[in-house]
Amino acid sequence: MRLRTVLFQVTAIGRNVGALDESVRSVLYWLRNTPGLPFRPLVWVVVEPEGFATSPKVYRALERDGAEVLVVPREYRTRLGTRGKARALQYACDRRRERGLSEPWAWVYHQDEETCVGQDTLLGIADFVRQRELLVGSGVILYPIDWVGNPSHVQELTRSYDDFRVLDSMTLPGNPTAGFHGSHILVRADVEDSVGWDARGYAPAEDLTFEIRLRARYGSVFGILRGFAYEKGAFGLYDQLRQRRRWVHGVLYAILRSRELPARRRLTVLYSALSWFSALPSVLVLAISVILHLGPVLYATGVFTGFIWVSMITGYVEGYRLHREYVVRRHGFWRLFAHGIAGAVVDVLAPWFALLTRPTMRDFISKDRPGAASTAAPASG
Amino acid sequence: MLRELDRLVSDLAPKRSEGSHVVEAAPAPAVAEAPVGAILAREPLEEVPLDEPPATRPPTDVDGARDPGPAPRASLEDAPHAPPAVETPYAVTPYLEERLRLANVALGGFGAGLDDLDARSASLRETAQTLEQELRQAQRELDFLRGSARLEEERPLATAAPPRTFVDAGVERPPSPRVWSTGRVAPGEGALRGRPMAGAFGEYTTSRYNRTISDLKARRRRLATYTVAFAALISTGLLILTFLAREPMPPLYVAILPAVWMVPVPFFLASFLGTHRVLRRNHLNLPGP
Repeated sequence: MRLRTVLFQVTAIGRNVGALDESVRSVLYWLRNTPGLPFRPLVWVVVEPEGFATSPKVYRALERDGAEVLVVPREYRTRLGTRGKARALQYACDRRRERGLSEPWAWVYHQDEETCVGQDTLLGIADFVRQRELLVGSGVILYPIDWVGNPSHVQELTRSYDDFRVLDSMTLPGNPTAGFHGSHILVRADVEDSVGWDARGYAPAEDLTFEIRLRARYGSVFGILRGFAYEKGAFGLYDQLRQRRRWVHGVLYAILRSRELPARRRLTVLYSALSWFSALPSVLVLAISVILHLGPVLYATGVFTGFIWVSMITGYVEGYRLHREYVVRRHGFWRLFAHGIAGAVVDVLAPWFALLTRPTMRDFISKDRPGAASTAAPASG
Repeated sequence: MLRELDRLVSDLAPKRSEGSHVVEAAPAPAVAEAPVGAILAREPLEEVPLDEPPATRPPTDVDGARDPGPAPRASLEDAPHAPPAVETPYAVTPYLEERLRLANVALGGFGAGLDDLDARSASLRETAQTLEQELRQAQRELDFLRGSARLEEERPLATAAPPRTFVDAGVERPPSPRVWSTGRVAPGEGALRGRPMAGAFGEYTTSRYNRTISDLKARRRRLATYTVAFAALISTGLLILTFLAREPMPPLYVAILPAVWMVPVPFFLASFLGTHRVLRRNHLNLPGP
């Protein structure tokens, strides 16, 4: 018998030092304050050299407090030559193999640099690793950290409620509405390492590629990870736009370049992308319909219009309700309403923006609170 | 003031004796823990970075200055530190020994602090709180280990939940960092500074999660009903407006434009059904820690 091991792995460039520090400390804090967890914990921070160079002091402090910092060597190359985050993730796979952690009793909990855990996250993980059938777990992510109610933050509320759709889709065969996360996922280490993150060139949404491969190889082995993860939204609309651009390019990459994607799944991913792309034309048609007078055509479309409008509003309302226990700063209704519209406009524009521009491998989206020092002092000595 | 101090002393006095009892009782159940030790002995576990031996952490480094701290009372300091009975505690709960050590230090500090009660009553309250919390958690870890020891192979992990009596023991609220970083140094505080401090994440507790999920599940039916009702209302309104407008059919190149509105309809329908299916089928709440 081997004792189950859960490796909390934060994989990032590492330049958002404050956010990363808080994420790792959330793990250390709750590991210590949740007695009786039925697994052996390990904490890895996998960062790029330039991230480490941003604030070695913070990384050293994390090491002192129990985390292990792995800096991906500049000269490290994968077999297929992938770049970006996938390269760092593959590096972690290699290190696990070296250390004998690529086994059925080991699990990897993936975190972005801003993914904090709570007591519920750890108990959810403890619950998931007890079962034997499912190989991957994913759960709902909230965005309460540094929540100030700006347009991007209000828009993120809808993602939390949408996560229930993601969970449903993910646990169904074929993942019909294409849902998955790159963070707050728990994967059995041997399974992850057998699938790997390596790809040809730069995969902008490595998580989607990973999910497609894993599903193709192991089938429907996805389950619900109870407990929330806690993240933060972008601090500005342009950051939000660039973040969405990366997702769109990830989807396009999967559709156009992922060989493992079965034809049926390719169609569902394509349809999901098409739904998103249709948002801007929909708004434009709505605007010009005032001039064009669509007449009896509205008998056909009007039946579903109400449902779509209500569904979108529900996303905001229920998203906010999910966060109500956690967000400190509250705004008046009309201000939140206006911010919601602004955030939605960015999401509507994002896929078309993605067609016109390209993400770069080093796209840096600040997750450290504006004004907070990037060289955050360690929280404990 | 004196009455308040007397009350504090009398409040804390029983906890001290209770704490001593727990510390002394810790290494006792060698019989119960032996099977797990035997199992683990066959396959030794790898070294865990987190379970750094407590002795390696500087115990009294406060704000860059060595603080020897007040001498603990002999009776508390001399409490026996028996070695752990099996290897399991280090693997399963890497903090057990640290907890007991911290509890001992806090206990010593607590005793010394009593001598200087009038000047240090605020710090003492904090120390007592920590002492109580550490002892409670150490007790829970011991209970967890004892529970594990009775079961075989995979099963200990599946059924090793802590006893219900400690579920609502109040571990969720960590001491405020501000309390620790300001004011006078409390007895034994230097050793406690090594603990990870809570940021905002200290508030992310299981009870909050359960409350949020329970609320959502409780209003699921209502939510579905309202969604359908409002959707029907809006659509009916639009259809009535269309009927009242009595506009002629537009040319084909205009008439096909609204088809774009229909593209996401299947997605929204699947999303609605999926969300309610997940909430209906799954028990998403978590048991208490």
